[in-house]
Amino acid sequence: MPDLEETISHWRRRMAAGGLRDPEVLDELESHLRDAIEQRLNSRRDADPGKAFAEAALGIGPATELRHEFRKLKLIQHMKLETHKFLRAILVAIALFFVGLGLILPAAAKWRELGALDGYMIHFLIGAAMCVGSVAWGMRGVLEYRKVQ
Amino acid sequence: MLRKELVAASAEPLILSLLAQGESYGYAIIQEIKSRSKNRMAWTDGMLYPVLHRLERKGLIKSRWAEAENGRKRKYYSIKNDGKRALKKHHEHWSLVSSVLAGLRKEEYA
Repeated sequence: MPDLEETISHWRRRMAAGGLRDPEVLDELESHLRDAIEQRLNSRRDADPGKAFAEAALGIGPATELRHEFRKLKLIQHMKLETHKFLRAILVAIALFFVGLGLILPAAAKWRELGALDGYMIHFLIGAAMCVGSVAWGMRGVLEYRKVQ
Repeated sequence: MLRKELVAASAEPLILSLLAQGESYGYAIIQEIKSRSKNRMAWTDGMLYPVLHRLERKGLIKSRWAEAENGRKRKYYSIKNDGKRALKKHHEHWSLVSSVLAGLRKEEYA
């Protein structure tokens, strides 16, 4: 049976390899692991450190499960920021669309006289598509954030 | 054993209730819940931490690292005023669910 300290270090490396890379989270989990081992060793006179470690590590669970939960947390925080960014992008897109429209319309009136209405329509459709795309993108962010929450 | 969904839904009010009694740390919180529920609430120890971190990010609790009596460093959590307000809301909601359920049960046996 390897030394308990070595076993704990190995467990910590395994948790990090499993995706838990935040040192503070690892410190907290290690502190929990040590508490659980200590409690098991103190409660039974003939307790085996190896067995106490195995039970304590099992109680904490696998890194993959924990990583999933912590990732969800990060995603919520990320989505909060992203949602604000998306909403700002939508406002900018709408503002640009109207500014663009204001610039294009007078020119379009001239083009119409010159028989260039198709060119104006293409500009208008591209602008409208960009605007709709921004709104859809923003809404997707908002919906995903709500779903995760 | 309690259903997983109910355990998950009750985690936040239970943690806030325990912290309302005083500062505590992850392992002690788990032990307290296990003991009070007579081991009928199966919490995976590790799963407590994402909940604690979420509560902290929501500004309901705060944490600090301190040296424990055994010389090791431990992260202690305590409730904030917003947490106390959230706990009050939880109590109202759970009391409502409980009273509706009790009323229905009474009618069932009437």
